[in-house]
Amino acid sequence: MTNNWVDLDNSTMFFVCGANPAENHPASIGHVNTARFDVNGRGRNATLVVVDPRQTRTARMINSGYDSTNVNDMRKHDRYVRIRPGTNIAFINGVLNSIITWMYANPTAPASINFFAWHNSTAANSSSTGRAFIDDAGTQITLSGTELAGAMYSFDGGTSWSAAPITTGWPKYCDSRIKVDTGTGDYQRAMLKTTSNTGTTAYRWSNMPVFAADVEDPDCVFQKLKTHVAKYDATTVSEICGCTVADIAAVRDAFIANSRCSSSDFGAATQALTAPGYRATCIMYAMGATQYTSGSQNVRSYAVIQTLMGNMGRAGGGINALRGIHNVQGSTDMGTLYDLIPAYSGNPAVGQTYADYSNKLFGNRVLGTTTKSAYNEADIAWQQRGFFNMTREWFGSRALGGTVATSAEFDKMYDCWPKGNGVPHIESFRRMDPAWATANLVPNIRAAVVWGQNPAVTEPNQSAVRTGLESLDLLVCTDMFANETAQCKRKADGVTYLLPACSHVEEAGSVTSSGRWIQWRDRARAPKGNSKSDLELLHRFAKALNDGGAFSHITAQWAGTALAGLDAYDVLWGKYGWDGTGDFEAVSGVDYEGNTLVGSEYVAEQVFKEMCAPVAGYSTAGSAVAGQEFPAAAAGFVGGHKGTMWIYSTGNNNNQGGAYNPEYIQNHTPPAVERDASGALTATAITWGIANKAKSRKGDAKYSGAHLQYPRYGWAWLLNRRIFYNNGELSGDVADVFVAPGYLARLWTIAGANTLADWSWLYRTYNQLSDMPDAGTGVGGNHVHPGRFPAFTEPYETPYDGTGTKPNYVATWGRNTKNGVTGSLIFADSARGTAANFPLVLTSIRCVEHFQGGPITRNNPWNVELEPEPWVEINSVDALAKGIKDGDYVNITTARGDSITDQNNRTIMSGPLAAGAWNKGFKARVGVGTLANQRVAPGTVAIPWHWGDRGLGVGARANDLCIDAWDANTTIPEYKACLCKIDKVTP
Amino acid sequence: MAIQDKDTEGKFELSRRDFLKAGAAAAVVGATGADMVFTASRAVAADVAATYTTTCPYCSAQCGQKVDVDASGNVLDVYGDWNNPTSRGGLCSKGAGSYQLVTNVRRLGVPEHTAAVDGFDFTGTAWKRVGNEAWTEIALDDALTEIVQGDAATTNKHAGLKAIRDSLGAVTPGSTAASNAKTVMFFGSSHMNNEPNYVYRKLIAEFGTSLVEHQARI
Repeated sequence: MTNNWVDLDNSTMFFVCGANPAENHPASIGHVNTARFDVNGRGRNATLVVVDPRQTRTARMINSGYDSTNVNDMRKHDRYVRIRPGTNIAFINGVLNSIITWMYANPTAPASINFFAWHNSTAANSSSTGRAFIDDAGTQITLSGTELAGAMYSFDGGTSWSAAPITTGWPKYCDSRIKVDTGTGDYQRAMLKTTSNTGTTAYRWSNMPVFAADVEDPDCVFQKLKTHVAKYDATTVSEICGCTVADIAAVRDAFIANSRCSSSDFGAATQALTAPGYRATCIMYAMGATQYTSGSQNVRSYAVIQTLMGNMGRAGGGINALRGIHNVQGSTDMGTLYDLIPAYSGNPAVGQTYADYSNKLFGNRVLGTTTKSAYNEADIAWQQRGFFNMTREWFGSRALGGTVATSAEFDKMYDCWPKGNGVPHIESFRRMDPAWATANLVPNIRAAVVWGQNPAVTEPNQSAVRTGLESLDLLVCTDMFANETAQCKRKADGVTYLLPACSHVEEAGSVTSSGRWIQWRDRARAPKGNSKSDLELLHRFAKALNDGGAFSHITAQWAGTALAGLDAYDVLWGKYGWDGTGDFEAVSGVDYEGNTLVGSEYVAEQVFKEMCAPVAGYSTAGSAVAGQEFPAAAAGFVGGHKGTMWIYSTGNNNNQGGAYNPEYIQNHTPPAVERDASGALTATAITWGIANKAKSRKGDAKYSGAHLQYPRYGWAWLLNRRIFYNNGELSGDVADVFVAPGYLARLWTIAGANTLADWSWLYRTYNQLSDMPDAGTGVGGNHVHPGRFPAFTEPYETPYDGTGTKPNYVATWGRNTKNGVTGSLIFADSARGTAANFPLVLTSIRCVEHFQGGPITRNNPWNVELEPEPWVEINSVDALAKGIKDGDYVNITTARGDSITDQNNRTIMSGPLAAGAWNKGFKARVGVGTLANQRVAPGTVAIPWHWGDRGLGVGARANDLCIDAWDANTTIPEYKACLCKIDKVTP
Repeated sequence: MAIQDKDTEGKFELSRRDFLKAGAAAAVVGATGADMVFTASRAVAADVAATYTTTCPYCSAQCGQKVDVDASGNVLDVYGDWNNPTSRGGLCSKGAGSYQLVTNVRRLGVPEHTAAVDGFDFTGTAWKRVGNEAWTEIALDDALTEIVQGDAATTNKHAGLKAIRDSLGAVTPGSTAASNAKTVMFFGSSHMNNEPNYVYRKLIAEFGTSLVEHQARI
């Protein structure tokens, strides 16, 4: 989430597109309703607009009534819009087209005047010193002051040159006014001549973009967007989405009425979020946006509309991903993914030097300069510093490396990083099958460690997944329950181990919510019975690996250093508190405040400190110094954070406190409120009073409801920001480093160079989107504009594929691919159904009573009693056609399998581990009433995916049916749309 | 006081069940939120020796929870934390039922989990099965040793993670692909706290591979 759960109180419109928070994130509805029913007494009421293939329980919250005499009661815009699964982008682009058309059609309307004034607003570019340019190889290089002193700039293609860059008139908020070079797919850039230009041309391309005087310039991003969405006219979109033309106009009106252009604080220096006339739209999305082959582009389309309408960096605005599992934000932060290491750094590549790797991270440039070295701790910052610290903590110690002189020592540790990416989840199960691995010329995965996950329910196309699991020589599972994965069918000589994990109240540690709040969990008791905390099991696992010689490649690197001859476990793991023998839960120690911590409570805090602060880099003897993270007496303190998780730590060489900070004062937020003119704390400032800020539970009532939002309740990354991307317009706050003036939000994705054409010192590397739609014949290849806006594509399996009764939209609008290679998002051995054989769209859903893959709810009697078995939601028209009545069992069939037969004999159906009667099919819930009032539309059926073949409650597995086509950027499967047919069965 | 957590029978549980049902079936949405139930601790006050603060183990709203334990460390109730700004004391039917997750007799390694519960006696410290034969108990550290080093017994013989990792060549630090083993896959987990996630990712890197995935993909 760019904002957070509590900030929903400030919204005036909730645009819910691809989420069902009433069932899946019920706590959010308290805040939604606070805004809708004006619990905070602000004289305004928020509207709720739900766009979804299902009329969800969230959708049923609309039309609560409204006060027609109150112009600030936005509930008059309440609307539920039903769209076909997978048509999100078509709908958003249709609304964008309608908005832009309206703005031109109503030039005297205040909203239109404000809209264009906002996009044409200007800011001084205080950092426009042109510190970087692009060399002949496309690499950005930071210029020295000497070179800059003689630099000449041209913003008009070389016609005129000036000795200084333009410092006024820059776009203030987003790139709408920046000019596009359609040839290269990059922004147009200023030319730059320096005294030391030695390249093949007399000038270089500056990293400063060229901007137009206003958004009417035909080359600017805004006009390109206008052209891009023009073909999404209301009639076309209504046919694609299955909605009405009136739906699009209604959502357009709701957006215009609840965005920056209609807010009473428009043009004000600070936001007035408590005023009745304040307006901000919040987008809420979840798997209904991401679980498509176009998932990344779905979310990008939300970013485009929110940026265009000025709803980013606003209290009550933003783009808010409602993440699934309680710590999925934290686990993602920790990089347990094939292409990441903690804190969103990538795996170092094969052949990549440390300096080159560091140079590409967020921080300071260390290549192309003689003044900074990647090996010198004081020269690097932010993400670089975190990686630098992490490399030493993971493969050696902080005793090694740290200076240019000890770079060889550091390289020995850097060499230990596994180079290159791992394997995406879907492919990993294929690789477990020796025959598949041989046929595809890849290494066979022979062992798997599955920790707190249940892929034998959650992964799509279970037949292939279970073939992989069956083939493994060794399978290790850790869970609270004997789940489907632990008890899956195995080959005769395959060995499976099962280890017992404990419940959430029995292990201490921090967790990170969807709103990036880090909260601490107490250890209420030791793990029950023989179950163990994850921390203990992992320490014991590490000890066993160590004793089995699995870390010998690391200790070999320590020859000739201070660590030579030492034991890997002792150096790399013993520092957290457990020495490898004895009772883990008896480990104890004292925290910064002098409290005795026991077991996982102590060990977790030691790990937390490594992430956020030095393990032993501070001293209680030192006195706190205002503006410094650590007391002055701290050993080895050279400024800047020392944590390994840069996003959880203090960021740069300044006074922004991290999540673990012995200074009790959080320095940075909110200075205007709590700091006096000299920077000292005011008498009324609220202090933390605790070093581990994840443990802080201060209500801070005086800030509640404002954008500051409980700044001492837990800690939020980055820099305790509760709202990202603010522009310095939140009262009491300062400009966020990511989107201050000069750090523009972007409507457009450049296609040429991957680097951001940012003219500040904070240049960032942007990941290029790796998906690309087929060029549909009916739209003239307009999707593949060099540089891109989101474009609609059909799901991999769609009724509009030309084989059924529907028009062939695949030919018109295309399907998504990876880099233009047709068929690249699914393995050739995965069958694809066509509309001719499978006429209905199948979408997967969730319910409030059960959770994800199911082990932690399907074993609870209460949850099982509430929802004992899976169901299928069917429209009355489709049910009638198949003779299905409410309560009948339904067999659903896709190209991958059906619901009543054991998938390719991949489940143990006899012997001591025989599964229960899980494959009866899905119980029909047939719609009642008018078509518009039913859960699903004709042509679409919906099934929950929580069930499997093990546990107290068993039932048909949705993922026997779902397709394993994935998004090219995320590898998230298209769980939300595939093709099926349904038949009544008698169990 | 009972040795085990109280999974009370009778009226206590009945009222909880009714209350969960009421929450799940709520058709009318109030200003306090749909599907949320608000209740104080059901523990008898005199039994409560300590109250701890945690967060709900289900969705990413991370609702605040309080945990009452008695003097023996038995969990008496898990209920909503009124001080939490996100949830304001409310829990949905999953979160309100998480007391039963803690006290569940089907949990691995808990004393109540006899063969009568789940077909096997999962009261031990770890378990092993060969092929599709029955689960057998094994000591945790023995299991971990076998997982890493393999089982050399003539029956049930299998390779361990180290041998499987090195089967295509030993892990070799440096800048080549030999630094990254491709034969062992790791999964997990958004169900873990940050610290175990962090050391898990560390363990995988130290093991010498980047073959890891978890629920953020799905």
